[in-house]
Amino acid sequence: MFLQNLKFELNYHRQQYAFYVMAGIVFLLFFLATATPNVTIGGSSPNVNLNATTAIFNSLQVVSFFSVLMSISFTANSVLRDYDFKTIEFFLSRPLSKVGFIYGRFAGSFFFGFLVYLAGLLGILIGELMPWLDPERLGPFSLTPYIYGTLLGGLPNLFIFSCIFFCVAAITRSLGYTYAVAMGLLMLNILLEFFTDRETIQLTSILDPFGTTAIDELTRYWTPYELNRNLPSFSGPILVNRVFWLFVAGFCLAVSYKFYPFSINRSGKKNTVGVHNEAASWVISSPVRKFSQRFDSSAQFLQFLSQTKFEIRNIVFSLPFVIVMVFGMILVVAGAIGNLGDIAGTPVYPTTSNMMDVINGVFAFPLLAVLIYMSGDMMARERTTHSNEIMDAMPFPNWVMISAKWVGLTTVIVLMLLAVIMAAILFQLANGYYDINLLQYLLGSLFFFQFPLYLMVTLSVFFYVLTRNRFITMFLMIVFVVSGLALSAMGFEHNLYSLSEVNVSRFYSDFTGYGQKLVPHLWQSLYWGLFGCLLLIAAHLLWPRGSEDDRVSRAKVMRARMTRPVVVSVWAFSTAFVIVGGFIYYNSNVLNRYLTSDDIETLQADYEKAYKRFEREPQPEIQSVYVEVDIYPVLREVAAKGHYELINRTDVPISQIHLSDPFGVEIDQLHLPQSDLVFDEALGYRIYRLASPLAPGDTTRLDFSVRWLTPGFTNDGHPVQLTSNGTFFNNADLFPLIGYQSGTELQNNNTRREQDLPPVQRMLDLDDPEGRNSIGLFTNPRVDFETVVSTSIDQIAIAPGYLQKAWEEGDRKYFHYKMDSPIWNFFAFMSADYEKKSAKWNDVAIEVYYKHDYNLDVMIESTKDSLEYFSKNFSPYQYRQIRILEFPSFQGRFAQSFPNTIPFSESIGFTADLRDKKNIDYVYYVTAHELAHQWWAHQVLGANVQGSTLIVETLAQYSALMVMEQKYGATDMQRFLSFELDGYLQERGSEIIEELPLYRVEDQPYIHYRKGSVVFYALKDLIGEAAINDALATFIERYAFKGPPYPTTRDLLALIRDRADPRYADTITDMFQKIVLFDVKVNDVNVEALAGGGYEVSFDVAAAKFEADGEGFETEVAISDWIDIGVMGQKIGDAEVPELLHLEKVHVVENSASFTIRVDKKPVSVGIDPLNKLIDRNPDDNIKDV
Amino acid sequence: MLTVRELSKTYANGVKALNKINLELEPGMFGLLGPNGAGKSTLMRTLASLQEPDEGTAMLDEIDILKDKDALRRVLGYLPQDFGVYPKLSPLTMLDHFAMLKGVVNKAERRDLVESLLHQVNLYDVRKKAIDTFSGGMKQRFGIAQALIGDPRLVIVDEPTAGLDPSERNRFHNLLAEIGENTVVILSTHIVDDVTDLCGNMAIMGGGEILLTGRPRDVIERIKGCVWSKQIARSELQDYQQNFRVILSHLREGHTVIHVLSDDQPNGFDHQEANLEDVYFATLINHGIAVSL
Repeated sequence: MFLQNLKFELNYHRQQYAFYVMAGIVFLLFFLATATPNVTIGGSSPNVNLNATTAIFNSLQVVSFFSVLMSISFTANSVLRDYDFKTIEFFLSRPLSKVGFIYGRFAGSFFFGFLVYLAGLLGILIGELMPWLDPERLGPFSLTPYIYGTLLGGLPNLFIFSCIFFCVAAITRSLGYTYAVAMGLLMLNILLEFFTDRETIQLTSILDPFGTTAIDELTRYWTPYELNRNLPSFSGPILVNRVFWLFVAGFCLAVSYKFYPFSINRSGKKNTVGVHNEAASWVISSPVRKFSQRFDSSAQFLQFLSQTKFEIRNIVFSLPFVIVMVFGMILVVAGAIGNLGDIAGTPVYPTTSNMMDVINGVFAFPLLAVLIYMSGDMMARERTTHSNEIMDAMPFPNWVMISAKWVGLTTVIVLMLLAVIMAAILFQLANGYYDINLLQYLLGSLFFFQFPLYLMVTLSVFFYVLTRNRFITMFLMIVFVVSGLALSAMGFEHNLYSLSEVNVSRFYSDFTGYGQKLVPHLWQSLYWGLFGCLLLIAAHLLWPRGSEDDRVSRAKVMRARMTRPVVVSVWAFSTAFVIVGGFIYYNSNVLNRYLTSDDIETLQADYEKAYKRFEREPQPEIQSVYVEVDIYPVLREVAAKGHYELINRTDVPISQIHLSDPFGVEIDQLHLPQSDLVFDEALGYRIYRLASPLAPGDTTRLDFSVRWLTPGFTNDGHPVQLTSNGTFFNNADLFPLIGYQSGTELQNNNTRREQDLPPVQRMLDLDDPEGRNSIGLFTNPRVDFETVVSTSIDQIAIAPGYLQKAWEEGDRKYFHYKMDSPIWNFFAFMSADYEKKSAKWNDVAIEVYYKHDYNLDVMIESTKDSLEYFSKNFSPYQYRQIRILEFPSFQGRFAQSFPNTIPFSESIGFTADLRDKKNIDYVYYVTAHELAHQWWAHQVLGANVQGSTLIVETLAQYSALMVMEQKYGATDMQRFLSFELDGYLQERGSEIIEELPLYRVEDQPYIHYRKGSVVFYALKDLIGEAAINDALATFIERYAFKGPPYPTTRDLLALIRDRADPRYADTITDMFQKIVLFDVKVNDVNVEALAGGGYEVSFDVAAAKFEADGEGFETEVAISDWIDIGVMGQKIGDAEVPELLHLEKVHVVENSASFTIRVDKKPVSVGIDPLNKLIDRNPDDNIKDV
Repeated sequence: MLTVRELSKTYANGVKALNKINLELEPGMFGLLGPNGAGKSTLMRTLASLQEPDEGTAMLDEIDILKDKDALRRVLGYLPQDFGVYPKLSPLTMLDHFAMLKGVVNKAERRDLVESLLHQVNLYDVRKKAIDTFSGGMKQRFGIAQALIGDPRLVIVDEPTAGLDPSERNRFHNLLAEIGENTVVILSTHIVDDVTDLCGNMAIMGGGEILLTGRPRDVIERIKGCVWSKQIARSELQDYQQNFRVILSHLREGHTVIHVLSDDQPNGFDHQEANLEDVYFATLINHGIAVSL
């Protein structure tokens, strides 16, 4: 019986073209995603092969996601279609076994869902074999990841979801509810992604029905080596997850049996009205004849309103709508909790723009999914309810119905957005944040964020009238969305044909409002809006009214509908569309240069190919800079005029001076005395041939006059540096650059291969003899710096140096800055309408220029503490002033240290919410870090070789850690460092070339920041703060403000080793010169209460040590290390961590060891490396409860 | 007056659904009889502005049905063969909305109209219940109520009594009979009694053509005295079919009775009073349209 029903079900689906359409789309999608360069679904890191085991595994997860979405219609259909097709009585009249019938149905629909999955799998598999793929990015072919991914992900996922959908469909007997539950599970999946901290992931990895969180947890710390070859083991979180959800699935399947609508009455309710009052006598009454009928345009408008009310009411009063809305609200609140605390777990204030970011981030996808489902459903409602013939014969014009559906759908979306806005506002109020910007909410969500959605509604209407099938409409919408993403990945980026609009809300800043993206966005909205109108007219012409279903009849009807007003409006809208399109084209392609990201890559490659050969050409150095900079904030333009003094510091005469133009800047004038010019305009490269060579030691002068203009608007917006309030750019953006600029080289080796370039060399070898003579980061030695900056009258303009004079002239303000000692050739120019707060530390003036006043005191306190600590332990502060300046969030999330000047992003320090004292005060930390750069960078800078960023960034990390520890104590440090360790271990996996040991770091942030913090804190623990500080003070003494040869990490390490106990020599080598990882854990623990009071704790530990290569391949090495062991007691008071009863360093030389320790108080847990000082991929098993 | 001239429609699959249909209908009830696939529904949908014919014209007085669809829809009441409603909505809500769509925009007038319609079709007591819980008869009554909104000049009712029990059918007939005298009402059905009971005029359709038109009484008159019946064994049916013009067979007390058409009394046959059913089947058989007996 089961088999027979299964066979029936299989035959049914086999005959449905929807199945073929879906399978075909899924196949194609994944084939293209695998076989098209630049489009990636799985691994996107360049070190991970296209067919890496984990890439295939991840792609299969995405396939399973798609097939689950599509399986909704199969499974729900298998329950509901007998009612839709009215065939249930036919089945019920046969002697069927209910079990066989139900589960036969289920198995059949599940099987077809699985076939869709297999189509996607096949797409990937065939895609992987395409001959045009870059062979360098392919590992050996293997079926294992396909099989494994299917068994672990695809198959169980599909089964789990099919069971759930089947159950929901059986209980509710409604497709809408089934979709709502699917949406709920989808949102659950999104929601759980916010809670992947080490502490919460245990739970979230179980709750995620797709199992992706569990897989992510297992592969969290994988290196490229492992990502390419390994597969997550079927154990731990994924095992628990699968078992849990299979249990849920089994339960659902069992429950479906009870609820399966095995009766004639679909709704399952008793038919109460059926025979009501049949016996009552029938009073014949004459109908009312007093009424009037009107069909003028005002009557049509009333019809439209009435129909719209109907459409809205049909959705809004349904439980699925309410479910999705409530889920959306939960999602936004959860997203706010999860997203707003992304720096070391400390939240930012829930400002309206932050909340808008959350809404955009978490709700865009669910809203799109809802839109696609609901539009298909609403468009087809008359047909699915069989009321179309009555409706179609009603005397209303087509536009009434089309507009009603459009407005209805749009209203539904608006209602959903209003609901999530309400949730966001409640979240703000609950957090004690009362500065609620309602206008921003409404504009941001209902217009900027949502405009593309209105167009999607229009498109959906159009697709429906074209296909007259709601499922195909939904699929076409999905294809449209996916192809939009794919096209932009393939380099089709122009707004004239791509709907992926600049999301203006993301560029909102309290400095500028919507700022510079607003105007292009409005034009683009107008353009696509007109296109939408044309689509709606097309929908009017094609609107199915009655059953004119063959092509001839449709054409006939269409001709009849081509009335004069229709033709006129087609003309009007098309003309407007073309004119607006032309205007956009004029702005983005004529007034500005239109470059796709591929074009820019090619330009970069061409530049390298043509001029790399001049990289080592002797060039003069800049000795002094004088520049007059005029900033026009409202026009978003800058003009600069000035000169460099150049000097030949080499020992050969220089006969050619090479200059690179900054990208996108107009060079009005460049003048070198007695020279002639060879100019490559396309690549902006200039070679001046000097009439008489510049002899060693001689100087010359380069005069320049440049303008940075922003005419009209561009395809993706003008540079963010120029803005009406909050201008922030640096010299490299605007001034001519001396020599070949290796900074513009492409860094991704795969892109380089496509461009026929050799693998990238990020930096010179640590021991490169020439490297020692040039300076890292800025390449030019220190310069004298003087500038006059002007801006509009309402703003303050700032550049490094001390203010000599400020004056007003006409409607402009002028500021004359001059630095009294040479600084690196790296300076920022800023201009905004600032507030200012001042303080003093000794003779140093502290100034904070701000827009948000939440954390000014923290910044000032950190500045004072840092100046105190650094000048006491390292060397005196070299300037008599320090300024911190806020800049708009859309320019970046960072802080940067210029001489006596620290730009600090609106979004990291200024809006951090530090009210909860338990959270880590990263504002204090970041301020200290940037202050430390006044020493590490501006006093001493490493040679231009590997390890140079250790001297800048790692030392700044260490310095800031020390200042922070002094204020907040060791406990906070431990929490902060666990974030650093987690970051290091995670980001290793996305290394684009190879991981290097710390002392050879090549500008790799996860090494010089993250690992650097962990290593230096452990080093301090080992050899002491005083020893390190002494080494650093000596380092400064030897190298600060000096010329070549510049120091390297070898010099720094030597100083540290001199001050370290020789028994730690190997450990220091491991820390700096190797990539070493540990795996230590407590196995057994035993406690005895002693007779005379106190306790004896004995425990066994295991310890292993590994050395990794640059790709992350690990080899076990012998252990011989000093490692903490400790015994912990209760938490005292409201402390975050338990009291340490005992902590000592022991020399571990074997893979296992036992310890016995006596403590006075009652022990709660024991641990090896309990404070997580070692780099350990499983830090959680270091501690075990007694 | 409804005038149909040379109306033809051939579907893409080659089926000739309408073949040069000519009709002239005066106000009053017009019955359209025909077996399944005769083209009734195509004709009805075409007259209800829901389908495009290939050729021909159709005029309702001065309204060109095929060209000026909007004008037609304003005076049309249409009850399709099989219709559904939005789930969970009550007849009150639905009729109010339909009245709006039919141009009754004045709220008070609309309320009175809907109430009177609900009374008229005896659904007033259940006006707030969901239509999708109604019995078949109640649903059909709702259907006719919506078709009657706005005093239509043309009412098209497609197979309205299929599946109704006799008392419901009777009620439905009463409702149809009440429709105003100035209205053209087309009732398509394959139940001959519907026509006998209700229609002053009728046509029989088959194979996309009008096979016969006239008043029921007149067309019965034409075969009066030519219908003969006999009780036979079921197994003999085929023999009789070869030797006589058998127009129908039915069961009486478990025995097969056949009707044959003949000018003279055949041997062993009794005289049979002719009725519309005999006319119907005789017409079909005369035109070579297969009728299963």
